[in-house]
Amino acid sequence: MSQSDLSAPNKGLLARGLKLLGQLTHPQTRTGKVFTRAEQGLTKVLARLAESPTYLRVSGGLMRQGFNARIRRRGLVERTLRTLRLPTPSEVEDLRDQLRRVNDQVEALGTQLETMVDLVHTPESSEADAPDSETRAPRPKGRASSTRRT
Amino acid sequence: MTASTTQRLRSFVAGKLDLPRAVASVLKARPLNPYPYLKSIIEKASGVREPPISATPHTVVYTRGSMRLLRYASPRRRFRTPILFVYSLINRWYILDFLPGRSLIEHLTHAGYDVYAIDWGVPGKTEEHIDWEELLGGLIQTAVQWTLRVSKSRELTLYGYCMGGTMALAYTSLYPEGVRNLVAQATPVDFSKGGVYTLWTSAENFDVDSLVDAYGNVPTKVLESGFMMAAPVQRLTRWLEVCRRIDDPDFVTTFLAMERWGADPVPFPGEVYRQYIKDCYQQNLFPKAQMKVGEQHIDLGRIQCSVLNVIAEQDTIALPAMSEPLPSLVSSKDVETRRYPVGHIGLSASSKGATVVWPSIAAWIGARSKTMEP
Repeated sequence: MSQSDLSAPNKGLLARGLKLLGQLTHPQTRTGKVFTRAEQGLTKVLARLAESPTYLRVSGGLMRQGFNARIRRRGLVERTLRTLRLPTPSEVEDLRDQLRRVNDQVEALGTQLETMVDLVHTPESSEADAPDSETRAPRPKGRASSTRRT
Repeated sequence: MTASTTQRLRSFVAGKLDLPRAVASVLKARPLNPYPYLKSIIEKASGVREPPISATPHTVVYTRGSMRLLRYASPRRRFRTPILFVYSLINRWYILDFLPGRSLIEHLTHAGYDVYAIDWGVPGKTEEHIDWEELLGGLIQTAVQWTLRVSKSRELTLYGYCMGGTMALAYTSLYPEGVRNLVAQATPVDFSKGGVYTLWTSAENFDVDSLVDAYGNVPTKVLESGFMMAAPVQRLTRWLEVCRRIDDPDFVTTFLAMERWGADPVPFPGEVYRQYIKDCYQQNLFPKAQMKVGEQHIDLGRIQCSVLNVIAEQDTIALPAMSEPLPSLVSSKDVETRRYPVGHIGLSASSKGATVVWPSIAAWIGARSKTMEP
């Protein structure tokens, strides 16, 4: 949305409508008092529902069934696509992830190179910073990981 | 009809169609949060645009998978000891750098700290199998090491927020080297006191295995539905306040920034979630030194550095009762609990933050940090 689209007459009409809605539901107006009572009532009902053992048992059971159905469906789709030698949705998703991260990795590499160059040029200043009692900062060391690192 | 008239007519029609188009594209995605539906209407009515994300200048220091380590360098660095923020895996880190003039990170950089923050990014397929061992000993440890290296310091202040606080405590108990101070802000420690969240995630009501097996990473809709259920009515009715104050650009900007952040959850890495729910919410092993990560147990009694336990008195997510036991669980001689009259998010983004909360926390950290040599 560009700044020119926010033209004054249109903005005014929409803003006036929203303001009216806000005023009608303000707790100090007559309509607002009714609205506030309805809001409080609904909140109480929903809070009771959210703590009801029956509701939790039923919704938990439905969720479990939904998740299990999804596991079966996903397995079937992936098996079918593999049989047809087509990329599966998870493989496409993986590729999209990899592309998204390249940008950040390049930026980080630049910062890391600057840091390294800085450290190579001023090793003695970093030595002088720490009192003798302190331990040396550990070197960043890689751990076995399936993710790409810079 | 001249070309310029046609052009004007076309842009007028396009302008009128902008709002319906924006709403139609949201309806297609069908998010649970009202923000994407209402944002364009509020923007159109108020003339206020959504503020930029994390406006404080920063650079990316390190990346690994979806994780990025960000550096917010201080314009006038006074402290040698840097601060590393470990944020929760549920929402995005940028609540810590909310808005210019109302940002915890900006406040700390202006106070002279070299600040770093872990942005967990948007976990994808590669993050599905990350477990707590890789999270603590791989990702956080590497972030700590890079922070120390870039800031040219031997020690840092680890600053955990919400679930990030739980992770920071777990990390410090396993890898205490290099952690000089630990700030645990609105941090769940005793999960048996988690209110409705403990109830909803109990083993009888919630089958975490089938959820993780079905999705890999826990999808945002599942996480959002949980938060939606916690306050379903208020989630909608709070938009009425912005209708009343549509002429107040500051209020609208703050409101939109907050709602944008709330509507930006990320998928939760599946295996981390599985163990988090089982060991913390279902069995409460975390405060009992029984939660196992790799071959070791997370024993908070091994934490000996200075610890600040920050509690939001009106917190409805990490209830104060969840954080209160922390001082009795760590071995630190210098441990303090500070309570503030704000909510969970208010610690980082409310107007009280800049005047009441942050100066107090910054002073606590400052008294325990090394200063730069003249």
